[in-house]
Amino acid sequence: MPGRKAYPRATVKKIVKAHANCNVSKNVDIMIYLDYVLFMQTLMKEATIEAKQGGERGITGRSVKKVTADTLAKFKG
Amino acid sequence: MADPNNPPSRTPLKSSSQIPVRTTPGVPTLPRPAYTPGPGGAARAYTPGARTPRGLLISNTPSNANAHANLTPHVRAAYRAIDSRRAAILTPHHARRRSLREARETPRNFLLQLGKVLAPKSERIPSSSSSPGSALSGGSRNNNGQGTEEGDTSEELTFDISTRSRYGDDDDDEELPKRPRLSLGLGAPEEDWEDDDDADLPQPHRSAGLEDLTENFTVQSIELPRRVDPERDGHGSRMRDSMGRLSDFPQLQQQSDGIDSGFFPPTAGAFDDDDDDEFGNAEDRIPDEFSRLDSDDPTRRRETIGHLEGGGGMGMGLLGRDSDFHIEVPVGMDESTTTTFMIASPTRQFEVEQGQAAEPVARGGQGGGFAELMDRRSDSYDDDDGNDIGPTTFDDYENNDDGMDLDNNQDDQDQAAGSDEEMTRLSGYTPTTAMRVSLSAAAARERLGRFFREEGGEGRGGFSKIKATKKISKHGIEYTSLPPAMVKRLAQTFAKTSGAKGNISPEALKAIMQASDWFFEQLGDDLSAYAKHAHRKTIDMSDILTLMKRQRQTNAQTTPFALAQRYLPRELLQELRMTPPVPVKKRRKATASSSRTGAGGEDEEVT
Repeated sequence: MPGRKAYPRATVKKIVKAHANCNVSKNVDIMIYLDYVLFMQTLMKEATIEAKQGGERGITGRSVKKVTADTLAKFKG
Repeated sequence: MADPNNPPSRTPLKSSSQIPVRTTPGVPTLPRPAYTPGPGGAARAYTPGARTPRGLLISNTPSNANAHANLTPHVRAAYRAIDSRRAAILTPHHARRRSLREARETPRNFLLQLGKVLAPKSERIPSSSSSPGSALSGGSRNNNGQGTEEGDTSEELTFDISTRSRYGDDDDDEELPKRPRLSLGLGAPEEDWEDDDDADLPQPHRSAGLEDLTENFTVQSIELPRRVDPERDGHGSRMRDSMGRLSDFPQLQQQSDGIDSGFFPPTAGAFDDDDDDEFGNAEDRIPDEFSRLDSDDPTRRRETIGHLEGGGGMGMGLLGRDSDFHIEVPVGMDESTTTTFMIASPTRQFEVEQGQAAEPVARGGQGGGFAELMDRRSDSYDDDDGNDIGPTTFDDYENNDDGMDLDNNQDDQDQAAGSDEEMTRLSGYTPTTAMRVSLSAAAARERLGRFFREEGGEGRGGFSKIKATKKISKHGIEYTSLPPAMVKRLAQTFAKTSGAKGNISPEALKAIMQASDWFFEQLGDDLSAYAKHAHRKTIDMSDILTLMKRQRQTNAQTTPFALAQRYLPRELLQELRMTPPVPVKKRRKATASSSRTGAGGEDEEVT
């Protein structure tokens, strides 16, 4: 991660702005990104578990989709 | 029945001298004193007839005798009737088994006599040797009964036609078996069933001797599963929820246990397992059967279909079901391809898909066959426009010879909604997840519907197209989703840390992209809600901190700062720190209790 551009800050900000229809104050997008990272972590963890349970090799779209709803529910504020 | 019978019969017969010495402690000793004071002769006289212990008690024990001495014979008769009825209720199959044995014995005697008459001089046919042996074996025929039945029939066939007609009479005592069969309307299905056998060769034994017996057993077969219920029920707790439907399932279950091919589970399943038990009871049960066949059988099917169609929204109280549905939705979604579902409305999609949902799951292990199966199936649904599950599958069944297996399975699962694989798989889910999912189901459904509309435009294209397309939020603002490369990198890192092997496939990445889109949508909604609640037009740091707290991502132990340090690259941390207020707040938060931080956060935002 270090050295590379971690994430497109502008894009994240735009996405959130579009969805929230609100302005986003400074540096909030970093925390949003942090939240997103946590979400991704949870999602991938769940997907891995699911894939293992389903006897798949690696993470497939199926396993991800299966856990998506669950993980989103977890991240509902 | 066996337990109560034995002790009383023993005690009197082994004479009163032993009784005081007898030392089986506990319950059995208690009744004995009651018996012993009675004259030995009387006790002996009663024992042979001691089928119902209650009757014995009433008649034998002095106290009871006194109590009943006052009663009129009518009352006594009434008592007896009640007792017998109760016994019949408590041990429902007792009477049946007995009657069965009698029914067994009578025709056999009959046949033996007939055999003597018909073939005094004729040579014995080798196959016939088996049947007398089995006749001698008597009551223990439940297991091998099938074989002996066949033996009987073959014997008769070789003997004479007249014998056979007799046999038919003996079996069920009337012409009754034929009626139910008509009411079942099994004609077409049966053909299917036979076709089916051709298709799936794995079970030759089934077809072996049964062609003859079909007429006889169609009726009885339906009753059976009830008895089997409790044992099978153990598979999944969800059956418990739908107590009313317990009677419906087991046949199907049975069927799915034994073979996957039976098109009409009831007939097929019951054939193999239980025909013997019910053999002689046709007259007893037929009224019941009739009503059940007429009313229940269609309704059952309809009911299950209704379930499917009802989707998640129905208040059937079948939690397990509901949750299945929700859990599986995404699965069905991903497997089934685009076209049908774009056209249909979201709810429609779900109806259709639920039927399919179970399927891919059950076949999770077999990666290879997926694509074809799914494609074929979606096509078939295409044809029928996904209106009705039942008819659709039936049509498929007839049309696609290749896919017999698949359709059968699917059909089963549609009807029973509980094949073993599915159930075991479901049991893997914790109730909490089920609940959670069902909570978010509505939202998820919307999203999935939207997803499909979007996906429809793209087809199966890669994520590059996703990247290219601009999306419009519900506020009418355009946005682009995150760059897939970044998402992939992130996902891969976390996948590796959580122990997954291999790379992330394109579909997986697509799913992840979709998930992150949804995530941002949800997050934006939440954040704007918080900001609006605070009468702000800007999303502040406090909003996201509240959100993370509410997401249980941060708590007293894990501060946002700690999380940031763990997950964010150094530059971003620096960014956070560069602005004086933020790090101060965070440090304070790290040290102080959470209650103070709320106020502090506000202050620092202001400065």
